[in-house]
Amino acid sequence: MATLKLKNLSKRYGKTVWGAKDINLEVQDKEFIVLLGPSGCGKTTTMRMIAGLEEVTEGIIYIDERDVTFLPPRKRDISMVFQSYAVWPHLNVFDNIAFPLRLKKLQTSEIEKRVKDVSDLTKIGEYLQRFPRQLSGGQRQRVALARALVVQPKVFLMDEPLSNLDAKLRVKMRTEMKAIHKKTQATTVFVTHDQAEAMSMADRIVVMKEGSIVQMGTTDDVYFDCEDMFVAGFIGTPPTNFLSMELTQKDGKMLLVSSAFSFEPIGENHNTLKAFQGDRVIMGVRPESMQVHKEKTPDSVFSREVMVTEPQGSHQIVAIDLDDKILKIVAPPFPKIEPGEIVHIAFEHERLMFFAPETEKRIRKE
Amino acid sequence: MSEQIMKAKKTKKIISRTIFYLFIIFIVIVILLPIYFLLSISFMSDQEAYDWPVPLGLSFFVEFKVEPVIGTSEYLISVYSRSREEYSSLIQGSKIPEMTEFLRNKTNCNVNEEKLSEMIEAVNLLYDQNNERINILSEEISLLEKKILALNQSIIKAKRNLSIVEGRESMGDMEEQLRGDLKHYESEKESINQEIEEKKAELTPYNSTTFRVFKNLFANYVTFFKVTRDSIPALLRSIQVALLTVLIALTIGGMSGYAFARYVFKGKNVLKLSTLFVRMFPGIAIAMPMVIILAEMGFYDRPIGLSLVYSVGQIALTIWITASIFMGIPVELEEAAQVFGRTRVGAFVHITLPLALPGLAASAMYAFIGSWAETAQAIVLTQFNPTFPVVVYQTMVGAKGMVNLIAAGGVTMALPAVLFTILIRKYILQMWGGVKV
Repeated sequence: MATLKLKNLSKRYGKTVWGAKDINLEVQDKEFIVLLGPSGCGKTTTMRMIAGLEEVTEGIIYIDERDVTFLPPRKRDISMVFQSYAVWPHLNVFDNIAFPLRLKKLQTSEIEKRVKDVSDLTKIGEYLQRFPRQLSGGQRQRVALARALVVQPKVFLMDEPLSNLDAKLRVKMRTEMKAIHKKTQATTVFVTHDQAEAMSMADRIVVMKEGSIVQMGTTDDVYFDCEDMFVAGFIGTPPTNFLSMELTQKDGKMLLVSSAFSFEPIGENHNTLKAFQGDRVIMGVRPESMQVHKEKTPDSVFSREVMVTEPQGSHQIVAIDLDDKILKIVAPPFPKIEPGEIVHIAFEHERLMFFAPETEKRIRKE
Repeated sequence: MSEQIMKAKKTKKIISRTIFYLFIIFIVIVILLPIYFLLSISFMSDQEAYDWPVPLGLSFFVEFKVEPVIGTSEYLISVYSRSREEYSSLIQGSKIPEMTEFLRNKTNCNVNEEKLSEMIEAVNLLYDQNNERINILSEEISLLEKKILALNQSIIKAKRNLSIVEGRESMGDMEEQLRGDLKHYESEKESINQEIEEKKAELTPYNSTTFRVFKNLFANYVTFFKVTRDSIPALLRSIQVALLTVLIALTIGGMSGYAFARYVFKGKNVLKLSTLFVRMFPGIAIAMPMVIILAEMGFYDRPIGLSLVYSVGQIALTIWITASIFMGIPVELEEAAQVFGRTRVGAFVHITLPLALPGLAASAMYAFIGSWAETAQAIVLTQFNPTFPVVVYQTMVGAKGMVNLIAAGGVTMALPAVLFTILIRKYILQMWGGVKV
């Protein structure tokens, strides 16, 4: 197993369109990295450059400290799972999996052993003699996975491998793939646009937008400590609520004022905002970082009528109309909150995030 | 109520099914009948081919009748015509070798000389043994024939009188009487004719012998190859031309088809469409200037020259077929092969090519058939080394009206194309199933 390093990796289509721009990324040995972003953000382009299927415009790719930028795919010591599985329809499952091994000129007994091991791992041992068209989508997916695993590559690339499966199977495969990764300990780059998939599988998530990396970090980092409004808005369902607030001083105290309510920032927030030059901030608050009370409590910031509630079983989503914005709050399933009810809302102050309105970047303490 | 509806539905279903099957049968007949007609004509002798109506079924033997011609030393040979259901005379003569030769040409039967002389002897013997009887019967027949002559005269007379009398009201009685007479004469003539037939039938076993000979089914084919100038070399040349065309069209057309399917470039669609323009020119118009160009290249009157000219049109078709086939094969399959250890070319050869085989086979078939049966350009572009279609065409022009020979040539021409199609049918049929990932 090995490390992967991307240095200023860029891809330009035509003269002006950048598929990926200045990607700098270091993947540690045995790490599971997820490239996450909306469609067209350059995550697949980046992966295809790592695989060698796309020509690199600028930058260098290192696999295990070896410059592979201009090597053909077969010399890079990688393997890949494709979104469409790319299982060869004219070969049966065994031949599909054995294909890379045969090209490496391994002994027949060795090939059989390795195919057997990997097919047991991916639970397709009984289908080895079948042809791909006789398999279901999930089974084909497993064949593609087995084929990628059997070569024991340095880097393991997966291009949205679960997106063609149905929702239930996707969740199941997610768990299985994570278990396989635990067992094989392969350095993995996984591309997806599904944030739930990304957060549940990744050691580190790389959030991309318009060809560049916006933020990378663990699931908790990209969820609770967003680098900018894009990440905060992209990750999480329902997404972060953004509220435009005016920053003023009153009676020597700092005050955040919105059209609907005002409150005094406390603790870390106070220190962060103190250094900020400007009188408007955008406050990001996660739906889980607010509490809804039926009775007024000392920490509640404001009261408002409930517009709609969406019961979800494990929790309920409470929507509150703030004239210019709809605030969504995730509340525990009980007690049930009815539309029209007046509720009192409190913030978890340590979870609030503030962004500069012009740059949309996070305001951080100096 | 519901039962009635069910019944109505059932009837409707039966009717629509019947119409459907009738339609299918009609289509099959329309397609198969001409082919069958050509095939059966190619197995027919001259005598059969010119019978009307042309017999549809194949016959495997021919029935002959030999009878002596009274008053001469000659013999009359007749052959049984299936469509007229009677014997029709073929040849009258006394020289046996001449007669067998004639019979062979006319009926495709090898009547050997011993057999014929044997039959003649037999009929002579028969004649001697039943001389009296034959004489009596012949006399009776000639008497009856005389009677018919007399009757014919009476009929003509009656008709003439009738035409004079007709229309005059004062002679109404006479007209009626004449009509009555005419009817009487005619019925009498009919009965006498019948009598003659009976007597003749009675006479037949005494004065003639019949014999059956197996027909030589492939005589037309043998004749075709005998009468046409170098038809076997022409056949080989045609196969050479067709295979060369397939090779050229498939390599160039296949490669361009791949390029059209996989790459994005400026003017791609216009270029792809423009390849079809070549096919819009009439081949014969291109053939004339081609004579000069090919002569300059040293390819005139040679298979390679012909196949070059045919390839131009076939390449366009091949491009269209293969491009759509390659488009149906996902790029990921090739990319996966590259990731797992193949080179770009290796991925194409080992992954894409096997998957594209049905399409390639289909375009090979089109190219083969298209160049195999082409006649117009071949006539212009060859001189001393014609292809097979040209030879068939020449037979048609030279042997005026020998339909059975031409049919034999046509069937011979169709055979290699049919064989080629049968050989590659496995791959073509795959195409309609589509390449599924």
